[in-house]
Amino acid sequence: MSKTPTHFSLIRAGRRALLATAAIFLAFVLLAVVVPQVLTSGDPLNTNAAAAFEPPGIDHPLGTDQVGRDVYTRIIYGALPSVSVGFTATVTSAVIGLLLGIGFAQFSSRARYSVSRSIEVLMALPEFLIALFIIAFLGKGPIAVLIALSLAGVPAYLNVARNAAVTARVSESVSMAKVLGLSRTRILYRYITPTSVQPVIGLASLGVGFMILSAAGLSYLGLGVQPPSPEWGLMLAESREYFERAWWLVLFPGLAITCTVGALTVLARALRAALR
Amino acid sequence: MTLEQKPRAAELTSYTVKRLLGAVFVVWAAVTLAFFAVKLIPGNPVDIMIGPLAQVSDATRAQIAADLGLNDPLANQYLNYLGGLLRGDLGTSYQLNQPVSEVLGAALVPTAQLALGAILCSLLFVALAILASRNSFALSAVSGAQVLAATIPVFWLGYVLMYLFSFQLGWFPAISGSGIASLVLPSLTLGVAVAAVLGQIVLGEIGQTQRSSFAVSVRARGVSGLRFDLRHGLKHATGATLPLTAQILGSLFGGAVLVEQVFARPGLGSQTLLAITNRDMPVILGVVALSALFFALFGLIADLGIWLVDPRVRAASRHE
Amino acid sequence: MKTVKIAAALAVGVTLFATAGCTSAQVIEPVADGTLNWGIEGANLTDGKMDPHSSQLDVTAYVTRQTLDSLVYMNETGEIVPWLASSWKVSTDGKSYTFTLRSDVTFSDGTAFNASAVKANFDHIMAESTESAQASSLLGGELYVATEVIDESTVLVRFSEPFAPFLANASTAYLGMYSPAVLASSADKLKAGGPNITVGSGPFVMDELVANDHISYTRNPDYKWAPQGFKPTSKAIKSLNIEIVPEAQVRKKSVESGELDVATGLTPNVLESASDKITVTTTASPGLPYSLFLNQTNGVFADPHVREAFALGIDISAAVETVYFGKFDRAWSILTPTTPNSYDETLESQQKFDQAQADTLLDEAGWSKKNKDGYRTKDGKILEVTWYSWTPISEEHKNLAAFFADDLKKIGVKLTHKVVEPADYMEAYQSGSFDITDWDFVSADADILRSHLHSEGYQNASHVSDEKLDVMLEKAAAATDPAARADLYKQIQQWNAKNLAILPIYSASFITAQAPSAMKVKYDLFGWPIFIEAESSHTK
Repeated sequence: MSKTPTHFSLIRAGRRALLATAAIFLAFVLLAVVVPQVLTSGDPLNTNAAAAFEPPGIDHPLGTDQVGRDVYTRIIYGALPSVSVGFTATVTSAVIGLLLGIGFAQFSSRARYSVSRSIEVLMALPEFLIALFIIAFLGKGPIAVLIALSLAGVPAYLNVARNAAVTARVSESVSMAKVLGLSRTRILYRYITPTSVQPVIGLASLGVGFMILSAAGLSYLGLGVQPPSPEWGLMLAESREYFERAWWLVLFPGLAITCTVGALTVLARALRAALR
Repeated sequence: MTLEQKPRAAELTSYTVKRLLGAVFVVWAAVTLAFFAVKLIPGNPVDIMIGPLAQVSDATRAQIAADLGLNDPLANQYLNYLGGLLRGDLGTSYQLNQPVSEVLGAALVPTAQLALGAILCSLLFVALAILASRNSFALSAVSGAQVLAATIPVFWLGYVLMYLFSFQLGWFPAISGSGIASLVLPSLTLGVAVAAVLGQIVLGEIGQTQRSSFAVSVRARGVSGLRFDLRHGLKHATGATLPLTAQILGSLFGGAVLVEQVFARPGLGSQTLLAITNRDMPVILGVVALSALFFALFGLIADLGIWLVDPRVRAASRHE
Repeated sequence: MKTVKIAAALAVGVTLFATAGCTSAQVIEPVADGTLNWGIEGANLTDGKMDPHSSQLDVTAYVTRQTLDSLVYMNETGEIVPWLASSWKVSTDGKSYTFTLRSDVTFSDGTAFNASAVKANFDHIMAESTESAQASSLLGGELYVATEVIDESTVLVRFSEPFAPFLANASTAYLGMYSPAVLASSADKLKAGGPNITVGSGPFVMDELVANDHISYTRNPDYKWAPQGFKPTSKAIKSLNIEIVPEAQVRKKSVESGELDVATGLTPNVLESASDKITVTTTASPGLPYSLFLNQTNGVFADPHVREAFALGIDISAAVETVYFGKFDRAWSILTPTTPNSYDETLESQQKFDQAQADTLLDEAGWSKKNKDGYRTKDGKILEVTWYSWTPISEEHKNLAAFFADDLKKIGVKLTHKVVEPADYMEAYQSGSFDITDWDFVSADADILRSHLHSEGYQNASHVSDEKLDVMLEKAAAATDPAARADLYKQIQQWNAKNLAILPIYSASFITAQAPSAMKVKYDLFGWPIFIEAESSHTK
């Protein structure tokens, strides 16, 4: 199959369309997180015994759930709890990893040794297990999940930042700066940090989707946000037994998670490609 | 940096010993951290064992606490636990009144089956993806499928598959009894999640190899595209995957917890979850110890494999 | 020639047609070495609740019922018939029960069943190390004095006061008989259970237990002492397999697909689409209906007007109707209608839903200010009510809580539903730092109210302390005249209707599904299955 110019431009157009869709969708999600009242006038906690299990229709575009709550409203209000934990955990672990990775060379050799070994220990255990263990320690809830995921995510960022810092340190620009007599702090600030930030951002952009999925998984297991919060993973756990009579209760929260994480992934890949 | 072609036996031994010590340290550190964290968790283990609403006098509670060794100084409890670990005794589960090693041993079997099934399924998916990606139009579909596989929640996929193929069509049993039939859907579900990670690395490597300069010379000799991919692309892909196997296995664990929950399968994942819900500390500690041991050993073997195969790594390790 | 050929053709045709007709109306036959697969929810069962002497869970009772026999049996009409005891006498003062035991009974480990065995079991129940709450209460609790061995087949049980519920209680699996050998050697393993541990004289002998997965049994070939009314034939099942399947939907589907023969503990939600190939049995549960216990000692519920406002402020009937798809009835009293000899039907429809009245009551109680979220405040504190439940919690109960929280918001009350692990629940429960907790309690005798309402009751979650009520409960436990008992329990129900210590919500039914492959499965008055004479059409 020969690759004609039309062929390439089709693919490029397709990619651009996908990127645009992803961006628009994420803008929508952002709105839902920040100003849900703009997107829906309902109350996610408002029950209605008479209107339970209504299929999607005019009054309720995505139907109602087992206690008559509007699914569309719950999905909109659910954006905040569903996305915030994963997002915050990514930012936290990225920042901690970055700082530790950059500062690594400044540590005494004892500190370096202990940090390296601690990282090894953390990396030896699966992320999920670390998260579960921390939750056993702290109890259920979004804060525990946040701390757990942040901690579990640090090693990867630390390694990336450390490697980048090492590469930067031996680079020509830094050697020249040293020759020119720039102070250590200056070098750190102007050369090493920017070089390390880039791969961390690249990793974080991909990692945020994964963190959101992990947070949703922990909520599904009942360890994260608690009912009656309209978190999407939680909604999926609760809607299981109603699948037969109300398919919309299973479809929409799942779609919300998939599309949000998908859009983030598409955007992240484009970002990485652009940075290269 | 000099590049020697073959490793020397003495070097291998010293590297192995170094890494082995490292692995032992990792396991010890994980267990110690976990032990003290567990001791700090609020909640009286005696209350946990007795359960809600039972009438038990304070004297009896005190007796149970003493029997469990909970009144000993912390250091003693710790040393006893370590000693037990070395003997293979992980303590007794509060809830099940069985040795933890038995509990975890029984839970390990179904999880191992699931993991194996998931790995096989993921290899199948990746193989299909490789074959499909030869066609440049299908390539977009494959990329799309990859993104989907990485973004679709594994507990959503699993439940939908179970509903369609178990409940509605009845192709597979709904109860997780023994037998291959009940492993199919869980393996497929988890396989998708693993294939997402694996596929990205493998396809990425194959693609990179295809574009490399040495590819041109090999292809110029008349080697077919597929042959090239299989011989060289896969080799590089394996090389790229090996260091990440620990990560992949780690994500396998997380996925297994969720899949076991969705399909109501017994296993290490659901056992861990139960232990956490019930605050069954001996079991939780046992899972941490077991995982640390497993992953540390696995990392060791993987590292040794890379060290043997890749001369650059050997050279770097000499400078440590 | 032609006629013969036609006749022959006709004959063949008719025969084919007749046999075709026969196969389409197949009769399912039991096989001689049949296996029956029974699916239960089994939550918490194998996590230390396998001992009926110490567990409060219903599931412990209906699972161990297959291995442990009792002194007597209560049939579906509530009548007590002989089982391991062939006859019994109650003393005129009602304080002693003398049982004459069968002499042909052996436990599956070879130990003989006799008066010492009965004593060993009852001693075990009352021993502190067993940590028994329910079984010891069923055995009289504070009223129990001792069990005495008169001779090999005569045993005497003595109480300090007449204890009317004793015979009914003695028929339960909670007072089931373990082999004394096992009580002596493995008492600490009973809660975990297992093949050589949960040993009784029952029709089935456990041969494998895999926690949270399955329990399997083989038939006891020497079983000759089934209770009156049971006549197992040679076709009775040779093995019983209990599958622990947490989801009701999966259990039901499995019965429809043939993976299970019997599934119990189903919910109204899964019944809607039940195929008509399977037989669904719904048994209204006797005892205490699912209720909310309002803790009147610590928090806002110390004020009876607040309790009244709470009860008036939630639309219980609408919630129950929606959550249970109309299949479970609203409960109006703290005993369900099927509790023998005690239900007060004059209480039906008495508890009203009236939010205007609730508002007035709360205003008068001093909670007249409202904060910006709409919740009432008094002296700077919000009118908040914390409801504790333990995991695992059913979706239905969560839904009820969601409805109630929403209703209460409209009258300015903040309801926080905390669903926590058993360990955390215990802490909150024992410290009394909860406002509401919830459960139901299946029981064949109204005496179940004593543990919930007596000031020293072990399940007095509402922290009630009323001397007159205590006296009524004690008299009812002691009364031997059924009419007097019924009257006392009616008074007790009326007391609660005024005091609102316990707010009844719905009366559950135990729902089971049975496939055509299972035959002769009996259900007792709780709706729990008994497999003594059960037969199955398959061997695996």
